[in-house]
Amino acid sequence: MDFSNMSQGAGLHSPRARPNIRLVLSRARLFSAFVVAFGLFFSSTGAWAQAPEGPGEFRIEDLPDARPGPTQPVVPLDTIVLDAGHGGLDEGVIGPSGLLEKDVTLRLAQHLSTLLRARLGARVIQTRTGDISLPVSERTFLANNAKAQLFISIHLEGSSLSGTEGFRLYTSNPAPSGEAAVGGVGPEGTNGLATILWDLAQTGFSNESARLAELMADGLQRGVGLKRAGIAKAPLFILSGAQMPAVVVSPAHLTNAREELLLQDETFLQKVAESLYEAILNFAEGRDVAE
Amino acid sequence: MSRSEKERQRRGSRGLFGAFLTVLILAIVVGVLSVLVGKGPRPGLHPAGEEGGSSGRDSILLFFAAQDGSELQSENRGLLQVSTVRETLRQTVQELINGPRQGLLGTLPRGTQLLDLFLDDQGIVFLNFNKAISEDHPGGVWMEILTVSSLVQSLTANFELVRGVRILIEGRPAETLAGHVDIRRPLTRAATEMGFKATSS
Repeated sequence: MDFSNMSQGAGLHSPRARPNIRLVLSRARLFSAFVVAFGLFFSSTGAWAQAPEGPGEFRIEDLPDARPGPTQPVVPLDTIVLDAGHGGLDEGVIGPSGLLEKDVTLRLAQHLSTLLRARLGARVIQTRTGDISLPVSERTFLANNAKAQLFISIHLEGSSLSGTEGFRLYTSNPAPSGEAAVGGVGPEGTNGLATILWDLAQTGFSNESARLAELMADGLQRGVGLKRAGIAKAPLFILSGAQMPAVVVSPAHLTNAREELLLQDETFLQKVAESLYEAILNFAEGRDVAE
Repeated sequence: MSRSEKERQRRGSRGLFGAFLTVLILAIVVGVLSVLVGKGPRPGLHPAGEEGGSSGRDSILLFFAAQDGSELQSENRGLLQVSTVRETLRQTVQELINGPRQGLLGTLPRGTQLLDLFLDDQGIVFLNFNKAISEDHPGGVWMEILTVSSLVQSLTANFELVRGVRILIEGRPAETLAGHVDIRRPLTRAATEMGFKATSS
């Protein structure tokens, strides 16, 4: 391969086209991002104590109890956004007998939506209710715009190994990536700050997201009986910009023939939905897996 | 005007000229110094290892999927020759494409080709692949994580100067390979460590 003309290739900028001011701008942007992130962290965790409305002195008793009681919901779940992964031209993983990930995720989202509406009285918004293509960023935007208290994206696993089985859960990786991590604004430059802030949106919710993922894993393990393949933190596009606790749940491997068969069964999907519902209820009531 | 007054006026003019000359010389010296000081490496992209320095390596660690697909595991691979950093980076990615030799599982779809490779002065490696890396990807969240992590971990583990990896497809930025992992911007080693640290029971 000839590398002699690489600076002209791949649509990338040549070194001389970049003004030195870029470094100064990147530092300014990083400082701004840091300040905003600081604000986001405190506003999301409620770490800033606020004085009660009306006259009177601020008292420590006015602070909300940091230790959630087992019966009093600590996370009001008025609005929940459920995302059925893939859709339209994007079929996702395809099972050995041809079952499509996009169809299973939609059916599972509908099962869970019905439970949450009926039992929790929550307003449930589905990112899609039919077989349509929907960009990932629009799904997260929808959750943010609805000011949802939970964002759950449903997917399925695939593997080149037909024997790989079980469920996986994911939360966003708080480790910095992109421009924030490497001290520059990247080749795009102009949208550097916006993308850094998008990345940081989920940072303030990482603990709550992790708690929800653990509860869901526990629920699936007990309620459905599939193998717990793992819980991982990863730089997933759909989670990074979410301004609320958010998880990706993959309840089974579609490439495993046995699990594909289960995923075709509405009773099995109902059991998965029941397990996820119980986990969401426990999350809302401030319970942990150990309780 | 007396002679002494004329003499005083002439001396005053000379003093003013001297001060002007001093300021001018100082300005020139400051200007030259600022040019010299600012003559460091400029930000921007250049082909990796353009300077022709040797990588100083005769083997590299490659990260492939474990036999059960649950994590990444490393495989030591000898290099054909001690070459430049650019060539070693290219060889590393090419060896990942070629696949494992010691019982591990490949992480890149068949048909994947590395079209170009760049390294910028912030330590970001730009990998420009053909469409196969996306279109032929089997899908699934975990599989996509393994693909991206194997690239990032293999390059950052072997080269201290590599701080992040940016994946391009046919010369264009992409959001994801198969709908999950965010590849819009460079990925660091820390951001992709989940590839072999996921909890499992």
